[in-house]
Amino acid sequence: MSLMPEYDKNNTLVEFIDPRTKALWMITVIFLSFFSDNILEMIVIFLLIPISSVLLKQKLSNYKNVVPILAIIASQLIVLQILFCRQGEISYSWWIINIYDQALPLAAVGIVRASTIVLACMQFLSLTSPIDMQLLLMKFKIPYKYATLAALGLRFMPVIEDEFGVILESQRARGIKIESVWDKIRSLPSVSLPLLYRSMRWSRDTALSMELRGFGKYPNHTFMKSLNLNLWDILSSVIMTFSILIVIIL
Amino acid sequence: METEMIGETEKYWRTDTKALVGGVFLGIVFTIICVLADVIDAVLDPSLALLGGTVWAIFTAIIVMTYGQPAGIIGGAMQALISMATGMSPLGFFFIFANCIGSVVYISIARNLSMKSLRDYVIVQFITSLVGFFFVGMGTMIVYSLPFNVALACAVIGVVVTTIVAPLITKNVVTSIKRSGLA
Repeated sequence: MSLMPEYDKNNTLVEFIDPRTKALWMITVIFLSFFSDNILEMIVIFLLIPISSVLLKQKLSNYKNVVPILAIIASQLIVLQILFCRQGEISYSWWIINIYDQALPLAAVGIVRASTIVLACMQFLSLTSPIDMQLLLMKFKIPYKYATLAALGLRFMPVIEDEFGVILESQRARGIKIESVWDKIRSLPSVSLPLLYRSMRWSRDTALSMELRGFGKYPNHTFMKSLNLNLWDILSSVIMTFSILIVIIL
Repeated sequence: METEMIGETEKYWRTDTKALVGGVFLGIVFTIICVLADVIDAVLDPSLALLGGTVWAIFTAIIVMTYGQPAGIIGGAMQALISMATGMSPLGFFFIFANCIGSVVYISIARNLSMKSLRDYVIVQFITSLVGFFFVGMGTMIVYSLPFNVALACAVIGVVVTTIVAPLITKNVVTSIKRSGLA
């Protein structure tokens, strides 16, 4: 199972939107989610993400990997709020456990807010190619030497994930049991240390090949593509900025 | 071109390509191991994230002790952003501060110590964990709407566990990396 959301390079609609607009959209959704305490408002903000994905002809299956993780987080939040929330009136009491009537609404706020943050970030990554990410960072005056690292990370994430899978399989083939939770804890050093050392060797080779191609020799770098805001980007950015300002003022 | 001979006094500030790329790669490894640790945490005791916290402490230390800064900030930011974007943790936004400021704190103290004895690693880890868990505690209160006393209890347990467990592993791994000449 790949951790990173898949970027669809054939989606021309996604290519049409400037990465700055995509980043502002992510910030707006997260910001509105943080500043809202009303559960209905938060659900509406949350639903903006799948709706916008459908409008942009994105696959909703991009988000399916995250559903089990969010389900675990949701169950944790419900249990924690039931056990520790002290807001409102006691609605149920048993032995030393007092359940307050604000426990479940607070858990719901936490679940929706957490889901909004996760999905907004996933949507941004699934809409933005590594090269767009690099150009975006450079537009914010980050030197290309550092902006390249973000693109490098996005490109190498699946490669190192695959390598981790290979290490897991080879350790299993050597007879290390990785089935139960206790097995996983015991085997953590035997799978993480080979990955660490192998990644360091890769990073050394990658750095060398980058330097041999002239990386870091000149202060500037040329690209095949450049970022340009179109009318749609400007209009949507103004609306998003305006909505953030309204929330701050109110 | 960029790879340079690094003196003893400059070992904690490296902007050569090898250190920067190393920071990115170790940030990715950090993320992948954190996923495994968080899944185990979710099964054992979800509120504490002991294994995830220990992995954070170990990797923060390994990255800064191996590649210095800004690789520590790059690796930490990489882990935080990927964990947000992959749904590994909604606290990812607070991880940015915990990881980046944590790695700066770690190196600021480490450069004033010899970092040859386990005691030095324990001192540095304790202060770094205090800073890191302060931000994570804030995150649990804001994102999960948890009460202050629960967030505080989780943070204190996290600091104690990472201070005891992480330095033992960090010291061994950092020593073996230095011996192997990989950094």
